[in-house]
Amino acid sequence: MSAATVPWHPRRALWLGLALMLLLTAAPHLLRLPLAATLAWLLVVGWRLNLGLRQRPAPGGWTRLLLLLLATTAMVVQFGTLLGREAGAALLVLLLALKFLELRGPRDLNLLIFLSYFLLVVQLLFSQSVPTALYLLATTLVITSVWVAFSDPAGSRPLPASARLAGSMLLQALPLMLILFLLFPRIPGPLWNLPRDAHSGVTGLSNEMEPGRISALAQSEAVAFRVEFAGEIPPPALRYWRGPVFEHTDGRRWTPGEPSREPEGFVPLPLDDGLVHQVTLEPHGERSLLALDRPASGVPGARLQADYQLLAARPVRERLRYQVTSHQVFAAEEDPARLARSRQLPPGTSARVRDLADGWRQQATSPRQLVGQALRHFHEQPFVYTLNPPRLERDPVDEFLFETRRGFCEHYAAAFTTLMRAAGLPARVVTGYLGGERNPVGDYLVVRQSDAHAWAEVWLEGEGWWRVDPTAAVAPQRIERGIDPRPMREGEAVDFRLPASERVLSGLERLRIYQDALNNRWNQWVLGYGPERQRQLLAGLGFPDLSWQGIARLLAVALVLVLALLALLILYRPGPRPEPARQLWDRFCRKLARHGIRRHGPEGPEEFARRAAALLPRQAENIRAISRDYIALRYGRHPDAALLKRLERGIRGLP
Amino acid sequence: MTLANPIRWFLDSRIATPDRAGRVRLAYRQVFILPTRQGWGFALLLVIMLLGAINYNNSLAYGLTFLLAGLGQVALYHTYRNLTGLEVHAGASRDAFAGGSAGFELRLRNPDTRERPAIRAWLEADAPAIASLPAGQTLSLWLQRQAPRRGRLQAGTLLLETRFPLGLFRAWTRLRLDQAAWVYPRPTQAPPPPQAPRQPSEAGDQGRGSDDFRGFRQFHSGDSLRHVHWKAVARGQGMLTKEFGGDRVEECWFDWETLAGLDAETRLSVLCRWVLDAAAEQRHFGLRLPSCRLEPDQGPAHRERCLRALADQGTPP
Repeated sequence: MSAATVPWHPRRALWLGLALMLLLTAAPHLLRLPLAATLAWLLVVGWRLNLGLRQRPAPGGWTRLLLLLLATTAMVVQFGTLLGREAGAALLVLLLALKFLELRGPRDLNLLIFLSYFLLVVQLLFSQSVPTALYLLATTLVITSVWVAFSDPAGSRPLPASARLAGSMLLQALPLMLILFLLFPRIPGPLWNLPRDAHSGVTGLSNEMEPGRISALAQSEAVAFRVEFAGEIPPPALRYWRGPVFEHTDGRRWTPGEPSREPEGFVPLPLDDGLVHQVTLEPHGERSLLALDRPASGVPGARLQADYQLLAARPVRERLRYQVTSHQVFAAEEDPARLARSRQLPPGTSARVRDLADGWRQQATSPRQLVGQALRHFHEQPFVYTLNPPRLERDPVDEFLFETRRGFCEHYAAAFTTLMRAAGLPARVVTGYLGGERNPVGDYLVVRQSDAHAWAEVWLEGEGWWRVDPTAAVAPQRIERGIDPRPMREGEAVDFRLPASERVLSGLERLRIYQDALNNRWNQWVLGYGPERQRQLLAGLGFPDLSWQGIARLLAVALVLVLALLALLILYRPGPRPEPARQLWDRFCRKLARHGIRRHGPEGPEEFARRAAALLPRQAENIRAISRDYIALRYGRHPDAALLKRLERGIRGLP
Repeated sequence: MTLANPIRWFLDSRIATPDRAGRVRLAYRQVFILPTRQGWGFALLLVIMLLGAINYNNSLAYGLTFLLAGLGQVALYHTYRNLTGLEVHAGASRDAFAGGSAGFELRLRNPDTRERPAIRAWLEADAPAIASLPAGQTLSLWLQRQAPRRGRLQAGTLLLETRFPLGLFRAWTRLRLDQAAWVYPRPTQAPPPPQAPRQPSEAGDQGRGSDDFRGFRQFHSGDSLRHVHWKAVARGQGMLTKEFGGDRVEECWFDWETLAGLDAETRLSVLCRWVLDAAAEQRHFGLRLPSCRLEPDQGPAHRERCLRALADQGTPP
């Protein structure tokens, strides 16, 4: 009875199917591993496959133990640990190969299947994109098919038939998955501490600025965030997205300066109507939440600082969606201490810089004029806007203003702010993004890392903070257009791209628009499906404000319904229906039974009719006719539609 | 008993019994289903996956976990369906000698338009036979059962089980089909020679055989050509057939009484050996037992009659 005693020799096709399944499962993980590890993995799997195809047994225990030790040592050397996302995934992939190596029977096979499913989930920690999801779904089908194919102890399941059965089973599982996905109570937050590398590889604006930081970021086409507006999308000149604000500089590095003093948040005083928008921010590992310049409303769980910077409570490690209202005009009030901090100059500011600023101050009659003079300076002098500026050594602002004159937005913003401070005006550097391309399919703006930007704010007494973008004095197109983030020679001027609405799109670009719209939907509704979306959905279904117990009840009801339907669908087996004459005869018998006349077991129709006729003399004629017709229909040679009709009429005529 | 083991009682109350045609159609209430060890393992896997999905707040991990949970549930229905509705008929049985194993034929009919793969069938404490039933077909399985003692052997409880398609669940049913086989006494290896079993016929010239030449008679159609007296044909005396006959056409009796002094089972074993040997030599023999008397005859049917009489003699041990 025990299966272990039966020699286990799956057919060739099953061995090949199993190897394919392992390869598909491990491939996304192997791509992340060093080449040597990938080769070793393929070698081990190929070895066992070869043995299996030739009906040879698995290699001995010592070989396997040695391999396990080798693999573990290699992992520790490579990752320095066996814990964490990367190392854990790599270890599981290697275990998959080693488990395959020792495959001896159905029990090992089951473990292999379970491990494969688990590796699919692990892969989801690395990517949740649409292609990944499709790939994993296909792999799930392959794993399930192999499972079905091996489930017959006789080992005679052909793979195509198994794949068909696995496919139909997965389809039948789909409604259950949907209900659980939509209604399973979502618990926010991690249950225990995530490993440190749980969310690595995210990029975005950092909370300090030095020359070269933003231009490095701007060479990436990755999406930074997407924005939907309740009403119209603002014109390009207003698409400044506010990020980290810097008040303090040492001449090279810009930092936020002293932390905000306001204990319980800062209350802005906007003077216009404001623009409501929804931002879906890609994770960037910092706390700042991007919003249209300048945000005024708070976001739940985030704080608005007095420098109009929205800060999340924790670094943004997952895609985040929030609603903000931004304004253009605010009351001209500011903390004097902050204004004092906004005049700070590093001690090493060069004489050339001070002299230039002093010259402007003496000529200008108002702060506005002063700003205008500075912008004219940038416009008239041979400044070049480039993604690849020359390296700046000792005193970046001085070297940039008087020697290289080639820089990206951070150079202009830093230099301009320094000059304004030298001229006595409170000024600060604001980083964020400028621009964003409208996706016509989804009607939202996509802002990419290549839109990263830095500009300045100047305090005008009686008017408040005024946004000044010195880059626009050098490269006015930048306001309207995104830059082309291709690699450039040092000092080469930036190329701009026409907005999509103004140029003829290639097929590939159009495809990308659709792809981004799809990604956005996917992010919003599938990946971002959480407690909030769940509430929205339930409210839409007519269940507003359900507690989690309420959701659980709803889930239970929905599950019972779907389970019952599935059981019916799968278990229902239509039995052969009795022929029509027999159905009518059964109805006749039921009718007579109501009069107390029941057929005795072996009694034939004729006898029964005779007895019934005697008991119901008023219906005797009819009963005899019915029995005659039935016998003719049942035992006659040809089916007769007219006779059937007459039989039915006769039975209907009975009381 | 009901109080002592209510589960056993419940299971026994649901053992299916055949209708008059010896057929059982497995109804829903007769098929039980429970997770296997792999099934529990799969559940554990799902719990781990769910915890991971919650911890990493990973939407697709939720999705995959729920898809696999759905798959497990669907597998339950498929496993259950693989057994319910199956029609089981008791078939023939194969007698055995004590210490050997008797065979019972089981005919499984799949009335559906769907295949029923990997169905295991076995009698208590024996190795299962595995069958895959194509749609609408009947398959015959021979199940073995150890036959340790002489007598009538009931097939006992039949177990039908399937774990198809994923091995996560085990659906099974217990049936009692009215099937029995005879278990003959175990033949002794070295029997005493039959004591005076020969009863030479009083008239040696009666009966015909092929040993002793007796004379000639006219050829009848149907006589063997080997016995034609060809020399007489050559001499023109017509077709004559040589006749043989004599004492060798004897009737031997195997008698219980001649084995006095041995215990009953040994006597039966010896008789069994004699019957087998005589049948192998195609001899005429009769059997006399305390309970019955079988007139001399030969052939497989006679042999079986004799063996069954031996199996049924007295009270089996």
